[in-house]
Amino acid sequence: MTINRKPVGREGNGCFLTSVTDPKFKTNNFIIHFIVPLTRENAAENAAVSFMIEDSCKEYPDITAFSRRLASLYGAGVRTNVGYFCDNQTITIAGNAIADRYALNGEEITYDLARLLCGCIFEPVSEDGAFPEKQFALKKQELIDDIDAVINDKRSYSFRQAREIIYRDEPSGIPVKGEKADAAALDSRRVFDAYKRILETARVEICFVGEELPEKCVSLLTEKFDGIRRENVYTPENFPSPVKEKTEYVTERLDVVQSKMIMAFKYGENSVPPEVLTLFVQLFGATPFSMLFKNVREKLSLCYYCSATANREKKAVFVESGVESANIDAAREEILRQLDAVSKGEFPDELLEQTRLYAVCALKGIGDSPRSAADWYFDRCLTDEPLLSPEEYISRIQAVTKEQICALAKCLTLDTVYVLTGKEAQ
Amino acid sequence: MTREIIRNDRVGEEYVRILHDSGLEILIRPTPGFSTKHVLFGTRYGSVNTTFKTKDDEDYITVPNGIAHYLEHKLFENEDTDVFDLYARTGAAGNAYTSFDRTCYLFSCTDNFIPSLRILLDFVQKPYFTEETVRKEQGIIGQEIKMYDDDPNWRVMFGMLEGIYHKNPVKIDIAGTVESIARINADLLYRCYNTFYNLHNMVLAIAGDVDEKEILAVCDEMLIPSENKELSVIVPDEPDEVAVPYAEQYMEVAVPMFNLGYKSSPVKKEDQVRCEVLCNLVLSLICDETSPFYKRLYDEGLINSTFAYETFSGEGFFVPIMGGESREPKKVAALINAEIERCKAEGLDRERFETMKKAYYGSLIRIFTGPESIASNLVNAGLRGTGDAFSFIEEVAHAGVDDAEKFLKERFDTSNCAMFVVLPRDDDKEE
Repeated sequence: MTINRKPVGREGNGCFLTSVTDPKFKTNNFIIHFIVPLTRENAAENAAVSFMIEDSCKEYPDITAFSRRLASLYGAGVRTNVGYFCDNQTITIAGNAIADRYALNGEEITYDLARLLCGCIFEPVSEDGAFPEKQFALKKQELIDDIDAVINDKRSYSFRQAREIIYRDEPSGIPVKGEKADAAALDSRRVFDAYKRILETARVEICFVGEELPEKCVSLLTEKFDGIRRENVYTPENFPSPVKEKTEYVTERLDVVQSKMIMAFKYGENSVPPEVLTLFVQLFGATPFSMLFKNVREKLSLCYYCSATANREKKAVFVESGVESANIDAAREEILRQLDAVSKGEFPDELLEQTRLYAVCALKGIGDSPRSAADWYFDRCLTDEPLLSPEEYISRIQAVTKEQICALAKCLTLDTVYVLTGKEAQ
Repeated sequence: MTREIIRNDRVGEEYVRILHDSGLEILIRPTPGFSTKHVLFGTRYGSVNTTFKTKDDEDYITVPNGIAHYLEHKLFENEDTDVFDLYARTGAAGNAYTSFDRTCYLFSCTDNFIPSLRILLDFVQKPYFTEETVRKEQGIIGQEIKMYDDDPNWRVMFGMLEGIYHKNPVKIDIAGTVESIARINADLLYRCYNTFYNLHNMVLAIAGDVDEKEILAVCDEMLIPSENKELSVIVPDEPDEVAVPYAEQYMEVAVPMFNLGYKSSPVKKEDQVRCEVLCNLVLSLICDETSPFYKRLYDEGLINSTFAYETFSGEGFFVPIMGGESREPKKVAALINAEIERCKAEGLDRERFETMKKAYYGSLIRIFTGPESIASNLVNAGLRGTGDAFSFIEEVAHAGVDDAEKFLKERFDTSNCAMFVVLPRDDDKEE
């Protein structure tokens, strides 16, 4: 496996390319992230840009022509996404296709895919400095529906709702696609202006993972980014989330059968190495033999799921659970009891070693999946160690001590408890 | 024991197929350069297999719905330990799933492959159920069932299947119902286990940088030879007509969601792949993003990018399905039916047919990308019991537009379809 990272285009223009190549891969994947500030004013318009560039470009100006082009590239795929990255918003466009060696007629699939992505990014369909009205109206409705659709999946919905409370007054608390009302107020010219602003000022992180990156694809990307004026390039931000003085409890009622509970803990100004956080979260609640799974779910049958995750940049740990309404209080108390046990070191040394083994196995597997490899290096692109490999991280995982795990558990403060429950539980 | 290499020159891939003396079919695909090893141990036993007999039984027995899934949960618990505790010692990530026609136990690992394989082969062959442990599981599975009750995508799918079928158990949630699982006991679990977890009815699929000889040594040691019990499974006789052409339910959703399915007779096992390939090609020609019909619905705001299709097929069931979000689902259904009739009358787009074959080929190449998808493809091929892991690629290569048109006429009966719609709660209040 070969890993490279270099600037793309003129020096100082804020565009970087990380490539991970290995002949074992049978597909080639481009993932292009535009990192921009996350604000209430701009979240929805930036999200709308991602909808506008997903399935058309000047050369293939509607969904039919664009989809037929993808089909002719052996079912290549192009998708856009809007997400959080620390306290920032990412507009991502990704393309993937089978490697050129599988082409039945010698087509240059990878280069054609890169051209298509460049078409979406640099040459969207436009009319007089705006997106075409009809196309825009459909995409705007789709964005509104997408914002609304979060309620379809109660687990995602509850996390979205909890997020706003956990990160109140912080960029990370802003809905990543904006509010419905913001989306409804958009017009095509404003979104086209947002598109131009993103292109000219966003920090750009391009990740390629695949069998081989043809040099002509790099030349194409360089030529395209050099062809636009890039100035005042954004420097992504991040702030640890402040701990609330008093735990905030919020209950929301909807017509649901199973309740959801999200508990957010924070460690504020405490400094915790990432590898300690990784192992703590897995030991506490991210494996099928973790403290939460074994006790809250298996032993006491209090939840159908009960798992821990973390946000390293925001210095926060979350416990998500799907729980029967009658068991909400008991589940919350048991989760706190398990955290207390970890903080006191009341878990077998064997559990730490098993967790370490599990984490190492997962890290070793990252290089087997193009998507995992791309996510790994993107996750590090703003740190001092953008090329830190999973193998190097494993050596840090090996050095984590039980005392460090206990110390992290001890400095966690319960910040927010959000519960989504049925109306009958009122 | 017999051993053969299954090779496909079209994609330059091969794997080893071994019929072990124990009765088990073992499929191995070495993948040098990959750290991950992925293994699935599967049985042809899913939620639809509720009525069955073996040569030792006088008559067919019908068991409660959801028992295959229940059995999957219980098998993770040995007499003295929990399987996850065993995997914790090797670092493997273990899991399992039950679908309509199969149950698979799987793990992924990078190190300790052989010890992890031993754990898998051991616990799947060593059931331990008592009335107490069986009862204890009812709470967790009951919670799982309730969680799916809140999932509109799940409800819209099963609502449609309840409309298509009168008796076929495929219309029942894989996990059963809170009432049906209350009837499950240890004796029934043992009965189902002894019937379906016979190695003649099972497949072991492995992909990763592995050594075949090491695997076979472990298999020779651990597999408990089974007698072929001549398992026979029946699906209740099903009327030709759909059960309920239209039904709806109110839930907490933003935009109405629908599924539209066409009742179609089950296909023979040997025709399964061919029919699935033709059905997917027909569906893509009628209504995927490359079709003028999709654009028309999209431009009129009748569908959005959630619109999708699938071929829902397996033992005893075959349903082409279309669905997604729409504010006018009934109008969309009527337009889909009109488009199907137009395609029947005017024929399919021959030029686009070749493009869609190319796209389908590309999607199948991706299956051979990594150990996880390779092993899953192998177990699917093995449990299908016909053809091999390259059957889909070959069927796509040989598919002709005339076959697709014939298939369209035979299997898309617009007068015999069922639709289910999930409507937003707010609409409920307004009415």
